Amino acid sequence: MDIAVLDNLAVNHSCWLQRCSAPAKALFAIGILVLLLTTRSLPFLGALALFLFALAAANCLPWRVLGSLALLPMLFAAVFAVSLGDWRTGLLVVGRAGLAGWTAAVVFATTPPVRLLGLLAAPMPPVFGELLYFTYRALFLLGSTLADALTAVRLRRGREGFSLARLKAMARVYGMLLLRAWDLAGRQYELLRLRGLGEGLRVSLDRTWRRPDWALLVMLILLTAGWYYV
Amino acid sequence: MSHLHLPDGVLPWWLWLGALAATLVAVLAALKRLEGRRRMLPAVAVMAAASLAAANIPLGLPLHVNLAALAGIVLGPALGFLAVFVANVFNTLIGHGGLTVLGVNALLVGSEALAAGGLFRLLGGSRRLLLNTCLSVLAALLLSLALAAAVAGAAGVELEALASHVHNGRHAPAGAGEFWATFVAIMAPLAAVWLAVELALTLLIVGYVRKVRGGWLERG
Repeated sequence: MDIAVLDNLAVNHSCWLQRCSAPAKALFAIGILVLLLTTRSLPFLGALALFLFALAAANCLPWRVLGSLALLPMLFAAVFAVSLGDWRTGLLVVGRAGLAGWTAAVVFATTPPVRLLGLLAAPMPPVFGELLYFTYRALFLLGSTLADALTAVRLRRGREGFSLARLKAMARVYGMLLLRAWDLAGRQYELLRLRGLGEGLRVSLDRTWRRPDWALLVMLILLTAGWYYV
Repeated sequence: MSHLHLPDGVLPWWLWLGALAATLVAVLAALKRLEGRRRMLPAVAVMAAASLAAANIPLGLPLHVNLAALAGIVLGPALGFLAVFVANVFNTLIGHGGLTVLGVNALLVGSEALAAGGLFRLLGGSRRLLLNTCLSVLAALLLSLALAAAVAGAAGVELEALASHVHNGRHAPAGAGEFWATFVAIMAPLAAVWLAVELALTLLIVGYVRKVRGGWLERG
């Protein structure tokens, strides 16, 4: 998972979903999740999948990025499905997991992180918002250092399979990464404190209900009606 | 055992709802602790980010580590749990691990931070660094595996009931025991490799950190 790709999409991608407010998208995602968890109908699941794929296509979202994110929950759901030994229920379980993952990825890829983190932090103590915000920053600090370190290791050691030597090399990479990030984070935090973080500054919460939000709401109502009648 | 990345729709509602409530209580308690020790905030954030970044370290195996036990050792049980929870929140946001099962996933992985952090301090901390790390991480990973196996058992009961509904009661249930046995047969080899790799990697990291910056773990 490349967080920079998702961040770039979330901030710079221009589409209709991007113009919807974060609370509306969260409500939509929760609604989809409720429909997924309560349906036992494979045709409805198929129709919901088509709708969600069409939504992504209409917003020109990259399929490869969303697909790779939805693949992991499907893989783990497949373990449960295989253990169950019933293909129909298995398909339902895998479909539920994949579509839930896809929906989460669509919301993340179309919402600026500050808005999303603000929404998550809103009902929690202020320190939680700071923690989320700072973790997100730290992800980028670590990401670029890790990429450089892994390139250096690959150039030095070449391609290799799993071995104790490789594990040792990776442990050194991780240890270096941890110490470097720890030092940088301390300094960055002091800097952000000087700018007001932790002194009453809350991660902003977008409360405005916009015109595209109504479209999301109508879609959810139509899907719920479909769920009821199937 | 975060590698399970439990998806939505496999667990009974009472389990994921109960786990969400328990996680919320634990997180609020940890946040209260963090309020009083603000200087630890960047450390918790870095450990959460490092836990996510650890998933991108290529080991040459079809699995990744999360180093939650290391977070517990470095930050202590409460803040280590908080770091694991934040990492799980980000995983959930990108679809890795379901939204409803955020609590269960956080408790499963967080148990590693809680157990390793608590046991590490109980054994005397960094006085016998490698031995204490080894014992506390091993105990934490075994506890996490046992919890994951129990959750899989609960999932089996739920999925058998779902199968019965899907077939309008005509499905002859194989029994949760059979589900569990198949699940364990699939996951056990992966879990065994994961346990060995996670333990070895944690020990190697602790050894490396002690070598290049002696005393850092004691201060952490």
